[in-house]
Amino acid sequence: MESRELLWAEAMRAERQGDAAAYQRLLKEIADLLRKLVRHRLGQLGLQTHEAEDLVQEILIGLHAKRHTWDPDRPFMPWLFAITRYKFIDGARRLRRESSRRLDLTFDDLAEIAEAPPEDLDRATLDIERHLSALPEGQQAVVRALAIEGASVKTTAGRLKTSEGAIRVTFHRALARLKAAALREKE
Amino acid sequence: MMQATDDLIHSMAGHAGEGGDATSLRRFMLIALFLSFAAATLLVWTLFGFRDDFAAMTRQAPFLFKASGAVTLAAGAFLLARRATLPASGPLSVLLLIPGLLPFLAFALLDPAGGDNLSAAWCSADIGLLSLPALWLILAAMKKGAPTNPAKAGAVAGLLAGSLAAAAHALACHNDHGISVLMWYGLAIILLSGLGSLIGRRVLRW
Repeated sequence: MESRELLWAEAMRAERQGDAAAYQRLLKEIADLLRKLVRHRLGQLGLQTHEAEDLVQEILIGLHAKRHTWDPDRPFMPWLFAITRYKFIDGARRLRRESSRRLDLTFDDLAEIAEAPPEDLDRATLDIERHLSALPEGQQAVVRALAIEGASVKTTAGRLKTSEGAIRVTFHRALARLKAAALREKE
Repeated sequence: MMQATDDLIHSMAGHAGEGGDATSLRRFMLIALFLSFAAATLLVWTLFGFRDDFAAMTRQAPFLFKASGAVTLAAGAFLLARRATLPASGPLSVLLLIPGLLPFLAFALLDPAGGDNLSAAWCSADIGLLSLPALWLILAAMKKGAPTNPAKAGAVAGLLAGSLAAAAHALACHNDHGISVLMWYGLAIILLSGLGSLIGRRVLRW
């Protein structure tokens, strides 16, 4: 712990001198630590841990945008944890809001999302692609198979070497996420 | 996903050395402080005018209590405001406000007879009005920092704006009774702190 404080504070000072390599190394190491922390805390709060990477990115962006507020005469770790705590609470609050929306989804909603007749086919396809690309890879594969190619749950499970139950869960999560993204865009 | 994070890190690393340091934030805070006081004083002068007996007033106890209390309170609030914008720079300790409270309390104890004039209630409204430009300036400066508790940071901004407005208001204020000053100045500053907290919760998020 002691040496990490020294190393990271040193890297932050190097960043101020414009040392991109040192800064990149530092951000990667911080990202590794955050990944563990965030997954652990999300699990404790009963929230979906597959959102962890998004949160890690939000924390990194916050750190980057506010790095001028670290005073080189002060220890770095407390500053890092203050930033992390703030961004984590912010993100966890958002996740909780989204997960309550997720519960509101009825099966009809899901069917509607999956089968809505596109009015303008080209634009709709583009939109679908854009939203899909924001999903984690696993979810992307399942949505593509089920909703776009029209494969059955069974064949998809076989193809992706997982159980039918897991496919259903992944599909539900992906749709909820797509709906949340669409709602966010509307707001 | 991790690939996306790596890309993000790569692009952020390209901006190494462009973040600056806390000096510019400190400078912004200081500028906001002086502009706030200047704006409040200007408003006092144009809206109410300084007191006719200005020169004599500045040597009398009531003004000295009011001015020293408000200025000291503002100094404490300023230290808290700076702290609120720098993560992990220390707790927002209310102790820093005590020196500023002492002159008001002393004034109220030395002059317990006053406080019966309700017209002094206007002091509160006037201070609220005078503090609005200050509140805006201070919040704008604090946005350059990283307040990790926007509601608290906003409350401190309101406190600072209120104290500065109270200091400016003392230049015009005819309310020379200890209890009444404590009550109406205090009420104004507390309400402004609440207003700052409400606004801060929205505008100081990042």
